[in-house]
Amino acid sequence: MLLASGLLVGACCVTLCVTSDVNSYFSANLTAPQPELAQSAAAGAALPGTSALAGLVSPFAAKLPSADNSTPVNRPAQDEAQLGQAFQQSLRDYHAGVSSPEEKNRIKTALHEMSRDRKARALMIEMFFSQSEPQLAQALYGLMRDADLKDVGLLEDLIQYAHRHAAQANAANAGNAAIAARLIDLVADLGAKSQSSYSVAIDRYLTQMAESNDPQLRIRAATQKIWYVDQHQPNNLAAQEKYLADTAPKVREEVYSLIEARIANQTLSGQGQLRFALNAALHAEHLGASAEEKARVNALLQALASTGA
Amino acid sequence: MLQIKKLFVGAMLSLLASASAFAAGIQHIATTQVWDSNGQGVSIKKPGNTAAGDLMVLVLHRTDDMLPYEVSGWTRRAECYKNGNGDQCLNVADCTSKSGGFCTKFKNQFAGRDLAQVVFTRTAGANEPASYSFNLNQDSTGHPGWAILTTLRGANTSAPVRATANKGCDNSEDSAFPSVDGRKGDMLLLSQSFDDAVSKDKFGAPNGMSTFGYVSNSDEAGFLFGGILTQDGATGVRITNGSGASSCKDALVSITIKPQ
Repeated sequence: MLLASGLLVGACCVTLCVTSDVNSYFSANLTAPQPELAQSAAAGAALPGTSALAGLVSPFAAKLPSADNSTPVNRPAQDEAQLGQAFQQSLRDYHAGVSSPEEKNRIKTALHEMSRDRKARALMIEMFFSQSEPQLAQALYGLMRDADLKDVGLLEDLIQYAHRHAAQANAANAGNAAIAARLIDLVADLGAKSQSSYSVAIDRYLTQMAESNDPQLRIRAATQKIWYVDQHQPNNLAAQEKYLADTAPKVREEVYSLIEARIANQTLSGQGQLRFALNAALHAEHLGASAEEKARVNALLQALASTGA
Repeated sequence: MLQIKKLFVGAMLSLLASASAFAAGIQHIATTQVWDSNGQGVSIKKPGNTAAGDLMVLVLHRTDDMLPYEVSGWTRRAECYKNGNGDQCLNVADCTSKSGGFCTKFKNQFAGRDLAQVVFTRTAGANEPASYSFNLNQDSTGHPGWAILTTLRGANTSAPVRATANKGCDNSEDSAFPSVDGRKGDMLLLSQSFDDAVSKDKFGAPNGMSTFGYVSNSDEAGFLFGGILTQDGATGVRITNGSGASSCKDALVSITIKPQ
């Protein structure tokens, strides 16, 4: 395990020296799902010639603990394979849950370093969507969360990949729903510590997923969308109103929770339309609001009235 | 004669105090909290207005390190040790290797050191110290530890806990505390460890409950919510208000405290 994380840190140190353009990478290689990319990465084999790691310089091979120093060092394919293997092994260790806190910290550090290099990021993105190694994909998701990556740009890249993948698959299957749930969770993770920068791509993705046919995914996306808009566009109450008429009580409750918080913080203004939407929700028979929910809405209406709106 | 009168009046006052506490049910008196950078000197103040006979509920939290399941002077009531974000709670009952009040291995393979909390209780005596100190370390290096201490009046101090439940990964951006058995008049306490620093408003108290304690620093946070149950039976899953944060960074414990 220690060896694997050491390999990964070593490999990342070298990839940081390499520059590429992840967008052109996407354009050139990821216009269609390429499971073979993820498969080969997952298998630790050298990726195809157009892979994210193509052109990786080799001197780092000599630095790796497991490197065979008796062989020539200028072998990019071997380097690619070594990075792929180290990355996989680290993910396996992480997934097994037997790493010590110190080892886990080394893996987290390596992941942060990888995320700062465009080519290594592409490898991460491939792994995140790997269908051939779902356990490693799950481990990467967990590790990204655990390592507090909170990287808006990376999330945008993942969303871009997801869009392309979904378009090719032409269906919102269970796998896509699980991936979407992970992406939404990473959005939630973004703002845990401090305010992250606003992303149109993330906002749009949440909106799109909030209209999914998968009920659980739809609710999860809608609730996250409510808070994302509140965080970045606090005066855009109009965007929240439609969720007061959502058929899922959980979604409506999220808006109530938001309004309660805003009332408590005295940061609510121009809520005339909001009162109208709350009243409409209160009397909409098809929503089937419980007595408890109606009491909560009535309390909200009274509180809004008392604020002088 | 005067002595007998004094004894009688004292006994009556004591009875009245007990009756008053019973009539009022369980009351939350006050809560304190503290965060310590290496877990070696977790010193938490006694909540204000704590009086003899009150029940003190202490929650010790730890990340990336050991957390003792035994501390002198306190009785363990519940716990949740996590091995990783996505994992469920490991319990002391799962411990297969122990050393000096620490579990060194759960289920023969897991360290359970990613995130942990243990809930303890203690009945306040007449001469309680002004603060309580804990060294959460078993070795010389330490990662952050934090604690929340709350005082309840009118609780059953001889057998305070009716039931407990825990959850390690709730798969929800909110925190979804597991259902626990309770009776009308019980105090429901919900304790949350979180493996990231978060603002207080991210996890607002579930409906009908209050935030008793909150602490956040560096890369971790703790919350304690409380409220009196208004009906008998399972509490149902209690969900926090607010935007929440990443879905499985929490360790959750639900516990019901019986009234006198």
